[in-house]
Amino acid sequence: MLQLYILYIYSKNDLKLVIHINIVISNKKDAPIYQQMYDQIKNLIISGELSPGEPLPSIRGIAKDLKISVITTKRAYDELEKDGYIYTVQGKGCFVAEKNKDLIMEENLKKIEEHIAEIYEIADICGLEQNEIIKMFILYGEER
Amino acid sequence: MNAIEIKDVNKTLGQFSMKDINLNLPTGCIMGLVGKNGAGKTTLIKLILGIAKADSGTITVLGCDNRKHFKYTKQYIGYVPDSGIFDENYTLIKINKLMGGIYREWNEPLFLEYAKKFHLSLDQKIKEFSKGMKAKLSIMTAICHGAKLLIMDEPTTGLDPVARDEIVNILFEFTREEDCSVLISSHIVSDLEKLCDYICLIDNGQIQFIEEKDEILEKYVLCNCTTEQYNDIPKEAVISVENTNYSLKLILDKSKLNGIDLETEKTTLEDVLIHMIKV
Repeated sequence: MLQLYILYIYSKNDLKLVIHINIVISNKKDAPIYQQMYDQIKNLIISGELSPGEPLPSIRGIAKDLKISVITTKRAYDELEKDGYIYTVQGKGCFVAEKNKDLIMEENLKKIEEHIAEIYEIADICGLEQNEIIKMFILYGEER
Repeated sequence: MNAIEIKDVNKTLGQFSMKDINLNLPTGCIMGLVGKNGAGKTTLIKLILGIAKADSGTITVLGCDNRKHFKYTKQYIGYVPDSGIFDENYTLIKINKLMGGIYREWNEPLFLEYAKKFHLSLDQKIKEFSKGMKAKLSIMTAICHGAKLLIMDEPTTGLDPVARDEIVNILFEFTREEDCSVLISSHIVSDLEKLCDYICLIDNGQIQFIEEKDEILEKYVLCNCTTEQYNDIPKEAVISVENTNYSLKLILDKSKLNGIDLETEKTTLEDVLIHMIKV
């Protein structure tokens, strides 16, 4: 009986991994709440603040702490898992997935594309032709 | 599993009837019940608790058909009505003793802990408690008898904003456990907006909709515009129109806007529900 009692205490007082991360959700922002959560966790993972193998806060835990719906939180976690940023271990929770080089490359390619779009916008405004932009690009590359 | 499953329930009470009631409250979720006075919210709660018997259909609560062997399941349902549940002359000490005798899972240490946390005197008569204190007492009593499902009828009506906020927090904490669910009927839509996973709108004895709260808030937007701008908006996107004499205030379904360029704002749950009920 004594042994069982001790086991019970230990399982109730599981050493919790204390993770200090910042997640800020705003009701006023245009982006849906699950999107905000998805973006912020994704960025924490890409930036390395959350390392591969680290446990994520439990879905219910973070939902109740941030005072948002568990359904919305689950949706964000499901999307993160679908996109390969996290994985779930049944009974244990969600963990950060190994840094997927392809995913990171994709992110960076996207960022470059956004910058290219900006460049074209400005070029259109001041009437710059595509070949002139390319000339500028090459020049810059040579001077680097 | 669902904490509450209502299937094809009908009930007539004199002139009033509840028709084709179908409702599922998934375990671990919080559902808000809204509707005008007389819409059927309290009748629905009575049907779930088995106080009123449905004319047809089935109601399953915590996995148990509420017409059969419900006595055991009732231990795990915490009903919090808008009026107090105890004799006004009772003290917390008396309640503690009473509940310990009724409920096999009465958690005395937790009850005393809550009393301390909410600054509720143990030997003061309840009639001397404020409204907020009485509300907290009702809820903590339900939680302390091991309830896995809280059914609450207007628990925050008449309370000051601080007390309401505290009660919302209690309910957030209660549902940290994944097997704890809440059904809350309330007029205070701002509390429901903070708290709920699902919103159920009842009108005229029928369920108008059950939707995820966050989806409602994502789907509808507020738009203040001129009459000219209004004419360009696809009519199926317009949920409601209010004429301020200087402009039009609209609630729109974002998905039906067909990409037209409009300045819109986020709407509140209250805005959406008021307009849905009016229509």
